[in-house]
Amino acid sequence: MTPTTAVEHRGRPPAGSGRHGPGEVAGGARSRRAMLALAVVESGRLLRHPAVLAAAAFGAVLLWSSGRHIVPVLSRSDIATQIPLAPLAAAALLATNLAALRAHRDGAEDLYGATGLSLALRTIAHLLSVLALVALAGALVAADLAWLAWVPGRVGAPNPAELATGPALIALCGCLGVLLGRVWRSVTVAPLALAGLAAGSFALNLPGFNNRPVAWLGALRVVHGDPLPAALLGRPASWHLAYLVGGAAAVGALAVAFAVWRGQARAGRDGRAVTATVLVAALAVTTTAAVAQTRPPSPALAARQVATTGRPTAHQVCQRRGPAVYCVFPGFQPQISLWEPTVRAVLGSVPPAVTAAAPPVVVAQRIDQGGMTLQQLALAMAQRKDLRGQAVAPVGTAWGRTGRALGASQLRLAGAVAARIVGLPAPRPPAQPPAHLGEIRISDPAVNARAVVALWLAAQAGPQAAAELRHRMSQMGIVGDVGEAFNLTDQPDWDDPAWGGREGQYALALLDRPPGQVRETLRRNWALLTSPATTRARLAEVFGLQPPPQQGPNQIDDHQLQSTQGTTR
Amino acid sequence: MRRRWLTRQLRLVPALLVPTARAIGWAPPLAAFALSVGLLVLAVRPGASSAGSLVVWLRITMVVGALGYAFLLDDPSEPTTQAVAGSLLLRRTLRVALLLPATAAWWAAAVWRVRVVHPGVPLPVAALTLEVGALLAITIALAAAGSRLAPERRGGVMAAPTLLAVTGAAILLPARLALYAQPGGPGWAGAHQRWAMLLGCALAAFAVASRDPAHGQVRSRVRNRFRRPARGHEAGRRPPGIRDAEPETTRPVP
Repeated sequence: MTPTTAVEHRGRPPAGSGRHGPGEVAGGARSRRAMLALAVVESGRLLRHPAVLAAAAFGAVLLWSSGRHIVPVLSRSDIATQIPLAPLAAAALLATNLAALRAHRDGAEDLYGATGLSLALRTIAHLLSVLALVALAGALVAADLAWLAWVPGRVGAPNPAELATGPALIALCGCLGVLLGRVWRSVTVAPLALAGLAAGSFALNLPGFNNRPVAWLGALRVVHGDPLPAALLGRPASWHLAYLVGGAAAVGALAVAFAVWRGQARAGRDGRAVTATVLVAALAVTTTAAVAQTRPPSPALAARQVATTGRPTAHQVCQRRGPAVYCVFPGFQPQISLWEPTVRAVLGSVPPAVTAAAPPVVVAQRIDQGGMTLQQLALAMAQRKDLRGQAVAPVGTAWGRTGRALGASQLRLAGAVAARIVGLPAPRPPAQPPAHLGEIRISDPAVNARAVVALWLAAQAGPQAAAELRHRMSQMGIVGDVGEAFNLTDQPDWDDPAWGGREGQYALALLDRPPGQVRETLRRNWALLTSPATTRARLAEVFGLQPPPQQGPNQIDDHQLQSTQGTTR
Repeated sequence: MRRRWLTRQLRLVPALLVPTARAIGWAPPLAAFALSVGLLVLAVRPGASSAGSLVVWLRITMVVGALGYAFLLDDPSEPTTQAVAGSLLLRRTLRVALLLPATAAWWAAAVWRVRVVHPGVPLPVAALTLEVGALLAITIALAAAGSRLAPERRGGVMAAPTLLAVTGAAILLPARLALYAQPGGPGWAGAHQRWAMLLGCALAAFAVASRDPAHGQVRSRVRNRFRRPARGHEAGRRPPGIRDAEPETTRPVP
């Protein structure tokens, strides 16, 4: 503070110099230097502010935790950097507001009036100090991307506009903190404004607004579900970045304008003209970007999303690796090496003669249907029904890295591969499209002995897959009747097989047996156990199993062949 | 002794009411109440809505309203009023008590709005009132603790961001320790036991953070006075050249 004050005194223009004389020009240059010196000091104070330090640490933890579970798809990882930076944006608003109000809080405004730096120049210094927080956010984003780029199997390329959105939000919030400090000399306003902003952005991300372009008027737009191929994203990321940056510039210019008005500034005509020009230009950019980003998505994009869901094979490239053919969306080829061990683990538990005689399993990527409208889903379903071809084992566009996420990915793929190898019929899309978004219709669940065998094979993909199967079955036990059909994924495609709940219970009982013993029995009785005419009771006899106890009100007879029936969740 | 002290404190209440009402900064809490109800009115509209989503909006209302409470204890004159007969705890409790009618009206308005728009949705009002009580108590405790650290006893500067951080942390709690449980969910009862516990802890923390610093100083001065002979004896054994400060070294201001 001391050096700044010294510079300020030296930078004061000589009294009574009304014209642009050489002394005033030199004084102006000194004032700018003093302003930059103040900006440097304020930057340091902002970076050391407890709220900023805590938010930066919290943001770093959020970035780490959001990236550690899934093998990165960088066209989604860039979007995933935005929410973790929201706490830092909140801290920027509060910290810059407190900094702008420091002189008022300390009762030092009269003292500042005796210095050469006008309120407008001090306001600009506060606005410039926000750049330090932007740089901090940029460093966090860069570190996150560098970490994710080293993960084996990562795919895609990040969008620079998405990466810059988080830092731009911090710039907007920092400038807003300064503006609020200039308009209201109260520390109460900033927390309330922050709460209002957060509540507004939260409301715009609720399902009611989720598919409406107006949701882009909020600070950030959250995405759910598995990552989509970049061509299907349809996010106006560049316009949203312009909206945030333009908003930050407009808010900053308003803060300077208020300071000029408040300070009865020694600001010259040039300064006022520059402020007005920046304000008008920033408002123009913000308005244009707001209009552009809230336009409805193009019909071509909607058609592309429908076609990719309805006829995915037309948009995929396939390659044979070992006992399977892998079909992926362009750019997702590195993920094949992540799937291979799972496919090999399942086929490794099948008698070699069966694997050799069977046609290669087709593993095909499917996109998450969660982001589509009901109309798009109906169209895509009609296209899929017309599709004729070999049954496939679907796999999502996201693949887990550790723990439950890895287990869930493995279980979905392994279950689908096992369904193909035991000869279960290919699943069909349900007769009717979903009545509301998020509804999952389970039709034709796999039942009887071969479904039990397939579920046991799926759990052989690895310990995480077995743990995930146990977890899913335990969740079913909590929420409802264990006789209910279930999926092995929360984002099922129409090609994902569904499973009978009783079959799941038998598979868990089989999992408690030594794997080598089960594998040997399976090898000797493969034809019997994978026959559509073999009941669960017969399978229990072959393995010497005690039938698992039934808990639901509707007891199922294990001696009878189970017929399939659809259920809805 | 304690009872006499309490009686003396309570006798001061009528005399302190009007000055305390004048000293309170009414704008922050009333602005927070208005903003929170405004947000609720905008968010809770007629149409299909579940108890879960309505509870989320009531919780947002609670947090925004509590932000106003964060500034309730801000009192730059506290250092000069340390010497008055009413304790700090009494003066602060009076501030909270004076705001309670407005708080009750605010919460009733929030619940009434939700009830009127969605009369068919069952709302766990008692449990949510416990939540709002605990959250306001936590905020007041944070403000009281913050006033010891913030310059000019303006604890709101620390309490408001801390409240937001605490709320964020509460949302991220694991299921077995969850505070923001879904109505009808398995963790609802346990969460409200934790809210009740937090309410008690926050009130205790408020009382501890509002101990009168002046009383402590008086007590220590009295204790020091009684110990003076012993200290004087020690002072007599000090090495030569070290003396007590002389009163005349402090010059009176002309």
